Amino acid sequence: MTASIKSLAKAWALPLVLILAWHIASLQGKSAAYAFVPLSDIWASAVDLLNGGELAMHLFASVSTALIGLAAGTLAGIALGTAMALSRTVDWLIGPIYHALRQVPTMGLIPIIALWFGTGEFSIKLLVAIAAFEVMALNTCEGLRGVENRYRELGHVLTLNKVETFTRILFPAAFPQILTGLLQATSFAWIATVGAELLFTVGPGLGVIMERAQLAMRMDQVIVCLIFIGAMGYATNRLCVAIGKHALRWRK
Amino acid sequence: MTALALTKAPSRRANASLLERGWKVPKVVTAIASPLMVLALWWATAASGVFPSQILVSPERVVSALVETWQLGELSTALGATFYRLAVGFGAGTLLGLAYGVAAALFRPIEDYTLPFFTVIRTVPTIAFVPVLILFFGIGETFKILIVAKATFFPIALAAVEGVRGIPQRYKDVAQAWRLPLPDTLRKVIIPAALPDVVTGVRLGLGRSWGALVAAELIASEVGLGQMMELGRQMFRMDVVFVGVAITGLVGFGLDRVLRSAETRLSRWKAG
Repeated sequence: MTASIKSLAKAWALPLVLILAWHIASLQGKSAAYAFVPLSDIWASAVDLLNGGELAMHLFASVSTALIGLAAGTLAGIALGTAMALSRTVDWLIGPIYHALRQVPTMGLIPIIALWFGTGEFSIKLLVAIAAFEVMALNTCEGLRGVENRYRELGHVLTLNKVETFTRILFPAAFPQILTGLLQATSFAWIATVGAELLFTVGPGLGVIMERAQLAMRMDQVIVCLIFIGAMGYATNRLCVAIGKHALRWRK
Repeated sequence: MTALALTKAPSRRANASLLERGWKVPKVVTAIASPLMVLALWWATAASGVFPSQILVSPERVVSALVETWQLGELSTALGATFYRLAVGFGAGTLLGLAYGVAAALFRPIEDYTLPFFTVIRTVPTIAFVPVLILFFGIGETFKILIVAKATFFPIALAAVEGVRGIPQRYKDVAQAWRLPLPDTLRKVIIPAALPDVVTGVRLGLGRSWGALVAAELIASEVGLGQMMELGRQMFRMDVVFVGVAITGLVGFGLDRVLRSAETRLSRWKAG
């Protein structure tokens, strides 16, 4: 018990020192306080944003954008990944194009998306969906291709038809990698949501109010947004790692 | 992402396509057939005039935009600025990440006091730091270089921690038996043994920082590849946007390729 308290204290030492340093910096005259806004201001603005329910509304909007994009991208990605792994024709037709497009960082697609679909909320969701789609297609395809031959031979011996082979043998065998892909896609979806919100600055969302706060030079609000975006990123990451460990514990 | 890499690499034997159909076509044909078809379709659609040129430009227009931006020096200026930021930020992020990772793996107090905090910071999307950094440093070079350095630092630092931790104890024992001083132990034992893991981290870091840099340039920049695309978008120059996106993809692909080959070579060397 004492050991864990000790390690907890050590873990908190650096952030506390940094907060203290920030506080001291904020006391060094007016120009320093412009960048290093006093902690009391950050706290006041957090309370302000939380009390009005404004922050909750934007957080909810961002999370739902991320989830909608993730769901759409995941379904499309699993569909394409499966098609590329099972059909040579699809692999020929779409494989090279998919791999070429995959090389462009997701955020780099923003200018094209903006020209084709405008700078509305749909474009944000589309970008999130693309981020999830790319990871899911890759992991589904590689997962299915990596299924060991002896499993497939077993399906052959049991005279399973194509559908049964897929649902009973190929998909379960590829599941660990598909799940790994989904967990990665979840992280990417959050990153893409924040990035797209910052760039499009439209509709409700944490990234949107953060960008507006930056344009209004409100460092206090920017910090509050950063803390919430970071906390969501951290929570998502921990959740994904835990789900991954739990779901794949039988592989040990 | 280390914790997420739960799956084994697919075995080589099973790599052949499923549901074999028994017809073989040369690999070159399968690789270029569909891009050529897309190109033909693109060309035909653009030539048909169904879409206005702000929505769809012909392939020739894209090629001429490439030539034009190159001849005017726009493209080389943009690429020069972008590569400069990438080189400085990535270089700094790599060195710091490596130094920190090795130090944290070798000295327990450093790990205890900093690793938990860094593990949290790592999960904050890099792009979310852009507004804070702009308020601190303005929209100049500093903020972009810091973004690249942040995106680079964490994957490399964590890979270095894992790499150094994974070094067999007997290597360290030998170094101790020879009473090697710390600098020599680092140079001759620790760094070579951790290198394959580190290179994987470097590859991840480079990919992340390339994406982050392009995004940062789209948000705020006076010059650079991202700025060129953003300006093209604002002026409805679809051809310029296409050139920018294509170059972004090619550079990302090229950087990844170089490090991937280094990775394969090093892991083979480690196994052998």
